[in-house]
Amino acid sequence: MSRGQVQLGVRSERIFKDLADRIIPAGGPDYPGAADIGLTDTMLKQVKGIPFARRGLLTVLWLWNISPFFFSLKFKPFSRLSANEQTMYLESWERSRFMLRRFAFMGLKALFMAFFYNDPRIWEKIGYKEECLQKVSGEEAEGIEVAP
Amino acid sequence: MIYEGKDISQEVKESAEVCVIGSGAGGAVVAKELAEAGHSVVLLEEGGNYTTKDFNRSVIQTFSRMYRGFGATVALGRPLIPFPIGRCLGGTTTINSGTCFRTPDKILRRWRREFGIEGIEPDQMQPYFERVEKIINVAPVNSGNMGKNGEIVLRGAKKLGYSGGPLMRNAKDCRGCGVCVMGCPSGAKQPTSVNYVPMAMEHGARVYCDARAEKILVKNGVACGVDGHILERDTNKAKHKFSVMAKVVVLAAGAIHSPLMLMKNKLANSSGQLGKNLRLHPGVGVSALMDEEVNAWLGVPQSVYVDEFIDEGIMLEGAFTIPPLASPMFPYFGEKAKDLMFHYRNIVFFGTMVFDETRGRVRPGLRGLPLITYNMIREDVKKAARGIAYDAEIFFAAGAKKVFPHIPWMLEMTSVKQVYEILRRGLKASEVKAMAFHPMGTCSMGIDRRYAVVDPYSESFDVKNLFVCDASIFPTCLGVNPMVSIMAFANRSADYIHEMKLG
Repeated sequence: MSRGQVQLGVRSERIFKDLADRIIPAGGPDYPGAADIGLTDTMLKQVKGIPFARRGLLTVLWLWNISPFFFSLKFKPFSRLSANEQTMYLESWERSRFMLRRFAFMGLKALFMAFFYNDPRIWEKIGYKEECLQKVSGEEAEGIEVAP
Repeated sequence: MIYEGKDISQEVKESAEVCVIGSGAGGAVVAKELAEAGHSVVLLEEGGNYTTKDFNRSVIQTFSRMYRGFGATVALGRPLIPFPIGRCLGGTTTINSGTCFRTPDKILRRWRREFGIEGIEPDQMQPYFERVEKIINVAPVNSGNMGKNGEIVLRGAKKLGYSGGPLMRNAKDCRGCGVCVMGCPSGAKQPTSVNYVPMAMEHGARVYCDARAEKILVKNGVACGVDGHILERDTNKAKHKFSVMAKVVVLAAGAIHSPLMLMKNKLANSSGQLGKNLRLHPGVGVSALMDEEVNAWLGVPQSVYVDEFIDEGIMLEGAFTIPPLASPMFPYFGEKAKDLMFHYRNIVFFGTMVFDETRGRVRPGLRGLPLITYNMIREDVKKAARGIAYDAEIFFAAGAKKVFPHIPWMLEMTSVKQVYEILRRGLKASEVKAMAFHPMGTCSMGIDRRYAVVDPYSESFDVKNLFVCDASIFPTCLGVNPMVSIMAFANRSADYIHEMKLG
């Protein structure tokens, strides 16, 4: 963790990183995951200027950590579940019968994915290019590629 | 000249014949028409002034600058429905897809029949539509910039015999950069910030950005000005006070913030209807994986429509978008989601817009934010389910191998038979994964002050010389994208203000 980003503390940062790893796992045959590009550090830097970001994030992470006591039979906080158990726990939120659990999971997933797929290094891996279908002329052409 | 927060170092005091709040589809039109008619106009915009050189593909930067609340305005209810709204010069016209439809004749006739609104017959509205369309350069999407997403949808629809075609858009020499919602990087799209606002300024209108209107001043039941604060753009903190004295006040802050502002000011609510009757046009989406390489981000994101099912209360329309916005929409997480995104080049997307009869509500909530509630009624949920099924059917007809209907109990489909399962089983409201883009109806117009907030020319029944000129005046949903309707009705109100109030 570096200066210039929101400081979460060791336990909260671990939960944050675990969540990122489960939603966008590292490695794999095609392209990197959250840990490989330092996603959580990027996110913490980007939200630094937002009022109440640290307090809000800490509260959400604390609630998330204790949530398995209420929503699973594991009787362990999220941080003490194995990677496999964490994945299964997230799946239970994704497929829950309860709308609010599903929407909460969608929000969480959207947060990590929006930051991850906002990274030009990932665009390159999935074939997305900053380009237009037709030729751009004149001054506007600067920085805009045209599809071959 | 546009006065921006950074240029202002002291309290602002202005005086004009007309003060317009909001520079989007409604406000900019009124400002231009009245300035052109020779009236002095002050136009206030809460957001910043951003131009082509400021637009880029960073979601984080764009959403924090040009969208209200980071694009996270949400209607609470069953289901939760997020709907992004613009907050910048040009309002939502700067960050919308640019789709242009006139108000359908059927809707205009319904408003006359059910709400007694005269003077809005199709032939009476036609000159307004024509005028607006000329100024914002409305033209159909052509084959050169449609992109493969639209081509595939039309291919599937044609195979099934469904009617549809290219959409009309307000763009000039569009290059198909696929990022309309981030602000057009080639300057082709025609938001009000590139036509109506400069035209208003040419005729002497003074435009203030970073100016948050807070209080509508009223004397003896007549609107007479607006007070508020100039904001620090990065922090949104109030910097200096401003005050505009005016004979006419035009509120055009959109269907969420116009009623909110009136409620905060305790104005214009003798009918008790203010903030009620919220319609959203909830939208559901379906994505699919094709064998062929699509590169769906190339081309106009929202380029085609399928109107085969209009009589069922649904219009098929949808916009493909860039990876950070598209990825959360797709199903799964973990390796499966990564694998799906690895095939981003092969993914297509289409959607459905529901003509909603559901009525939501806007109220003041915590910290001055709007509290928006909207519980989808059964009929609208049925329409959403049918829309998902028709979208999926179109993709299968176009050759998709896998279709993702965004339904919790059916994350992916591999056979067209599953379309019938959706139609047979239907959805519960809580199972609908919807988004919306067209809030309207919260200051609805009518002829009876007991049931309507504004009269047929958008003037408040309670406060003279206070006009509301945005989507909040529509008494029902339109069934089409509302930009051109908002502009045409605003133009009509401007003519009325010129003739009856300032002439």
